[in-house]
Amino acid sequence: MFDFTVAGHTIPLFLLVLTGFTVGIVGGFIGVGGGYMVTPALIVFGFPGYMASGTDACHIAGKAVISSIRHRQLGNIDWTIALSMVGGTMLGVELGVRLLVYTKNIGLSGVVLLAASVAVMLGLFIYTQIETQKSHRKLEEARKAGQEVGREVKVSRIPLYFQRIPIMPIIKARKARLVISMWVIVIVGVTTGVLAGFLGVGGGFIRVPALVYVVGTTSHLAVGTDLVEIVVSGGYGALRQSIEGNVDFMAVFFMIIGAMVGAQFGSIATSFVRGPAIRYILSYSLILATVGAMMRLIYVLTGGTQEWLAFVAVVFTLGEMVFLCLFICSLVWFAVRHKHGKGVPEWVPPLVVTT
Amino acid sequence: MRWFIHNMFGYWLFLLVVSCGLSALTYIYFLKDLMK
Repeated sequence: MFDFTVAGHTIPLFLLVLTGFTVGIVGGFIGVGGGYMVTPALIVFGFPGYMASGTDACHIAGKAVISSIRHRQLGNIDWTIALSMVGGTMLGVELGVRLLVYTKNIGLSGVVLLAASVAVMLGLFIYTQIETQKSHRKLEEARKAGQEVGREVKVSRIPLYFQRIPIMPIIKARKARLVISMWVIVIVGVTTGVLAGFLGVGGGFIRVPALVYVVGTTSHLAVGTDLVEIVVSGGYGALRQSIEGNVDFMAVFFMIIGAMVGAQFGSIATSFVRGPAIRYILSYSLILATVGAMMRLIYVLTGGTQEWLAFVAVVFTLGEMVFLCLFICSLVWFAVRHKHGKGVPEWVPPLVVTT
Repeated sequence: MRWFIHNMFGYWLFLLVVSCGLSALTYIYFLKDLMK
């Protein structure tokens, strides 16, 4: 009664609901689809690879709709940036997929692609981590000096260079309070789309840091705006996968049930924290995804002979979902405790909102 | 124990070990049989 069969495998329903719930929390909080976690998890549960990928794409689109609605209510979406970027993103994803097919045709192996995705994610992790630690220290100093600090503190000066590019049309993003050439936003969309399509990693991973460090939005706005992009790109992916017959709609239905609660919680959780906390969780998810990709790389390079690596990869995939979920939940718990004047770890006060 | 809670890296490490431990136990006692 509580199980159902997909491709000859009996899968407990609660596992699907739980997966939707945990990935919903993470996706709603840092603005990513979570495909890097869901697809391997579904394969562990016994889904065939093509079915896992199609079901994941469909679930991501549904979850992004739920998170976007909530982020819209929280005022975390800049529609000017989202709509300017969406065309570039779609073009970029299509270019990335074509580039992938081309490189395969000329004989470039999967190992090179995997190594490239590891390098990109590692580079992003290092930059995000360094910048966020500096912002954290700045917040700590301001707090100790008794100064009022807002929800966002950034030390990166890169957005200022991009905002000075004088190519028409110049757009005014009212919500993000910035003026920037539309071409910068379109090029960010194309570039992140190409990387997402080519490397097979979720676009959100690259788009959220790009929105923060290139366009210059706050972390909260980057999360909400990126989720709108995921609704469009994920919806397109879901449509293509559905036409190919790669989607198990019953599985999607139960995952969405979990995601309905998780995505709401993840989105609301952003209102308890300051920008650097979101960037910390984003950088943690980046390094965990990088380690996961490195494991796959080692597994491929050793010719699939190291059985223990397969076990470690499964445990790590499930572990990173639980870890990110626990970290976000504990941040919210610490924020509530701090608000009520109760004791919290020393690193927490600069990262949470007290008002 | 104090270091694991009051240092952000320590807390990160603590949660990661707990999460991976829970996942390993879930996999060994539950998912492994399911996948046969």
